[in-house]
Amino acid sequence: MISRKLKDKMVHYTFFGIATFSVLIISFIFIFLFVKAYPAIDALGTGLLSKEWNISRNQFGILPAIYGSVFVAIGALIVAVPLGLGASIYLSEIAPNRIRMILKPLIELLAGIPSIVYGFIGAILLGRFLYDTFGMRGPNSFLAAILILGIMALPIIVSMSDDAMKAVPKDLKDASLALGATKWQTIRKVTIPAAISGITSAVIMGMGRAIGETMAVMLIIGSVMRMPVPFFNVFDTGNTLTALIAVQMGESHGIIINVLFAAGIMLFTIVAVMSIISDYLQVRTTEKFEGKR
Amino acid sequence: MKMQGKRKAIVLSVLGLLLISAVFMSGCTENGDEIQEVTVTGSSTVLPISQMCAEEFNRNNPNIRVSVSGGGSGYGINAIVEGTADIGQSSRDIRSSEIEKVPNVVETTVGIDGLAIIVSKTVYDQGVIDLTTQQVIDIYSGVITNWNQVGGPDEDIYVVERADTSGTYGSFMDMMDIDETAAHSTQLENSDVKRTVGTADYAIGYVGMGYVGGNTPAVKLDGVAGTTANVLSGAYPLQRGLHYYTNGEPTGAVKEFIDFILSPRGQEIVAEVGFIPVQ
Repeated sequence: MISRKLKDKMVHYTFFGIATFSVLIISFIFIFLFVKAYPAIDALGTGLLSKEWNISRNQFGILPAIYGSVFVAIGALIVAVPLGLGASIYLSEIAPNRIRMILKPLIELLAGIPSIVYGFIGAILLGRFLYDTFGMRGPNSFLAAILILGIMALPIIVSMSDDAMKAVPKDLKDASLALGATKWQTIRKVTIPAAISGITSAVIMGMGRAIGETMAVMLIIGSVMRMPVPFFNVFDTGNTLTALIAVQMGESHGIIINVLFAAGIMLFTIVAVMSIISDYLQVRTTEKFEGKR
Repeated sequence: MKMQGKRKAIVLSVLGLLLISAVFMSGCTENGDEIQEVTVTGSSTVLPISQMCAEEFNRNNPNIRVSVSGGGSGYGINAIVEGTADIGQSSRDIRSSEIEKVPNVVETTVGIDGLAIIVSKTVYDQGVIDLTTQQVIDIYSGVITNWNQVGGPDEDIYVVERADTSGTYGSFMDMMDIDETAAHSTQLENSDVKRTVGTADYAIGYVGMGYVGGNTPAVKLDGVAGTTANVLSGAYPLQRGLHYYTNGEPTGAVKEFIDFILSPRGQEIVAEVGFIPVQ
């Protein structure tokens, strides 16, 4: 019979091993990314961050794709945050339980739809619809990508902020109502401030989905390595880092592969910077609303 | 409790055995050293030819195994330079910069592909059925931006191209002698170009001749239609050889495989998968 102490030790080291292994995998991915991207960084230097992309002239500036990734992510948030917040306020605070039981699973079902299906709908239906409605040049555009990504980020934002608002203690809301506040005042002044950190992480997760999405974007963005003109023109076509990697990877060789790895690092950096900014905002908003100074 | 422990032990040992056998199995082949391996890699355009031919060839030659993979024309030629494959398949001609790296390279043309200029059905129906080479060049380089400049309706032209790492892009740009485009949309495969041009009303794109039809009709180029006969006679200019590149004259199993593709049966397969035979 193994002694209880030994058993405890074994459990301890097993889980330590598992945790170390996961961290090792991630570190190896980072190291691999940098090793593979280094030849491009070495050969091109700041040329990598220019907006000139022309393979036959050996110009590999990925700025249009960086800009495109940020542009569609912000655009998708502009679409998804008001809708998502509104829906979650309704679900958690206003809707009767019966309706909530029907609506929430349905909205969560949206998250389960494979991204290629969104892309297909975007390319065939939405692209064509926008094309006819706005008299655009062609079916690909930033606008189509932004709308599709907004819809894709929606279920995450709804579901997570709904959970956050549901988790606000009922005592708080009751106290507010008892003091004579209306339901809307309670939502605005009590529930949302109390749930703000959960809502912020919902928005971050939604943005993560938008910026990392590849398949759907590749089908509708147009994948041209040019900046939109003017820079906020949602009717123009462009590229994102994910679509750039996906479109070029199949047939690339030599330095282009290294450039694509550099694009991967860039993508990772953007996500990291955004999550640091959001973390900071989250701390600030929590401080402000919870009165901790 | 005891039963559970026993079951766990059985599961673990089965898993262990599987792992060990997998490691050992991967080390051996059927008749040891008798099977000769031929590796073919490169252009996704040439891929169906190689795959279909390899399938039949492998069936008839049990002592040779031809394995085929894609990756793009540039990748295929690069594989010859680095010696990681026996045959590099390419849908564009080898560049002089690449020949410098493999001076002994031998080119075998296994088939011909015609490139068609396709337009949206709407613009075709409104009279754009024939373009000159210069007009196509001007459209792709952004000099001509409206269909009314080439006898069509007063609508902006939506220019669709292939990804710039593809052999099709390379050969189109070489044929048109331009090195930069003003395209509005870049697509991954022939089928994606066809879909994009078909979804729009005033778009233009280029695809392999096998993809023409439906809501993406092909226009004539300088008055010549892209038919098999016109490609073979040389009257239709947008055509390219589909090549096998080897480092030095092909010998042994590699030569046998190439000979098979150039045989009447091999060329029949080339036609079956939608290209024009060379023989």
